[in-house]
Amino acid sequence: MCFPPSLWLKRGMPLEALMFDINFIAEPGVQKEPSMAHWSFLHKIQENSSKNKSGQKPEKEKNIFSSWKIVIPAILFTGSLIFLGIRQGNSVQISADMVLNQVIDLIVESGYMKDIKLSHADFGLESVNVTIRASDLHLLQDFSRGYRKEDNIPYQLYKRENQSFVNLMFPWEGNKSGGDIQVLRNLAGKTVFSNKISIHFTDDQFELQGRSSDIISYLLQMAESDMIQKFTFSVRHLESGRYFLKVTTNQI
Amino acid sequence: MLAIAQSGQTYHYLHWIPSERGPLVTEYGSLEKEAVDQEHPDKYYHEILEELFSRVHNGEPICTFSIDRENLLISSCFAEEMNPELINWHLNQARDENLFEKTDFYHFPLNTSSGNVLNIGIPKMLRQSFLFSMRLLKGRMNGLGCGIFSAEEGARQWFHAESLQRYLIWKVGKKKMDEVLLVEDGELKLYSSFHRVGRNWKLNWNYGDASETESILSEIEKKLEGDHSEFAIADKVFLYTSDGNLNEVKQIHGFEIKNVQLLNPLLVLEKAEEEKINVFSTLPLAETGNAFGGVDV
Repeated sequence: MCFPPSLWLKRGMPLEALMFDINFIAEPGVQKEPSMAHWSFLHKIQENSSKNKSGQKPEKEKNIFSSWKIVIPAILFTGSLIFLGIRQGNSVQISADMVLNQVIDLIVESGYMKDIKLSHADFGLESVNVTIRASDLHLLQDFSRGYRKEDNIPYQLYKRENQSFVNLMFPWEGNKSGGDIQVLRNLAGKTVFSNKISIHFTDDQFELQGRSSDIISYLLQMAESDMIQKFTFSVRHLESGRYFLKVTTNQI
Repeated sequence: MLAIAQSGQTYHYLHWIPSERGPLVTEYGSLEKEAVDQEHPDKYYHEILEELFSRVHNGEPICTFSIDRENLLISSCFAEEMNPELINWHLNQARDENLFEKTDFYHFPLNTSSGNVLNIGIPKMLRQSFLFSMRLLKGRMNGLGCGIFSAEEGARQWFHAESLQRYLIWKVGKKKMDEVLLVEDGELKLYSSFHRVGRNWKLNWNYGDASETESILSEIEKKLEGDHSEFAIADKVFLYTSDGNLNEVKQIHGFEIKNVQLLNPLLVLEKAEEEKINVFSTLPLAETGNAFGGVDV
């Protein structure tokens, strides 16, 4: 529930109270003033709902097909769209946010489930390839069914050396204008990590090793800063149980 | 707004909504959840927050959280005017690099006339777990406080303790390990822990004015020995427990000392449904006080 803070502020309350109020959401260090710091992701709900609304079909108020003046151009227009669609290989129109959320869900779920592991998630220039592995093929089929059916995501299911794999291919537009390694370092500075991370970087590569939550926090930070499509990167689940993120700037 | 207070592996919650007459409590209760996988606190806290939000079914997922002191590292040092360089120098004398890498330190004024500083360290992993959970739940966390400090904030909001010159927060703890926090003229004077042994006490640790601690604990000892006159060391003593023996709290409350007040928000806040409340079993809600910072109760 949202309500204006002014409604609830105590009348005549001094801005700087003497007895401190502990709030670990504030930046660490000397706390001289009370902090109103908070973590809010409520806007994500609103974003999702507005996307859903925009995706809804408008209600028909009258039958527009009753006029041939509209039907003929419409047929021509639809025909050209179909022609273009065929030429572009029937690509599925899904937003970058939705793809990222789906891949993050896959990372989270594969981290929680003992029998299913993320093999790798590669965010390339035109697609995101996510490969999940399991020893039981049926388990993998059940796990990935939702992703394949709801959004018509192309997939490959295969078996190799007693392990079953499913490879999901999400549409993606990466490396829009090329990123800077300094940007990646700055983003790492803004991200709240656990205490089990290691970061290495060169002029054109940035590597982060840690828990799944560390990797996800960093990816979400990249997305919030509109940087997620400016780099190519991959996430791997290592045998040690840790996760490995490698980001490449791809600058020419 | 969901206010959550952790005590070990028990999570006490109080859900309230704004109304014309101030906060209106719609639900309260507790959830016990064992941490099976200690290596993944992010998963653990995510599950707890998800379950608590699903229990209250009301509005957007907005909460405050008060964590158990057991998760924190507390120390004090001398640093006049809270000089950050002096504080860092002190901390560097006492801690190793690994600790620094794994912990975020916060520094608060403690008995400012003496130049003392209270340092509270929270594991980075813990902060990240909450941030991560709120992201996944698409929620909002308005405050992350801790233990008795959150209860003190409640004393100010629910019982207007800030109008008192001196007040004491007394937390009756598990296995008679109690904590006290003294506020004088609106600033933290001391924070101590002691062990009640029979009618005596033994100091566990103390931050702040040690001579004050001595007189507070001596007076508590007298009360336990049968002197049930008003406390002289403070204008009011706010009493509560999170995981302590309720019979002990009932016994102390039963002394009927005039300036002892049970620190229970349900004694003050309006409730959506009028029902008889157990003022003792709901005392752990005292540590939801950080949810009411700046709220006109």
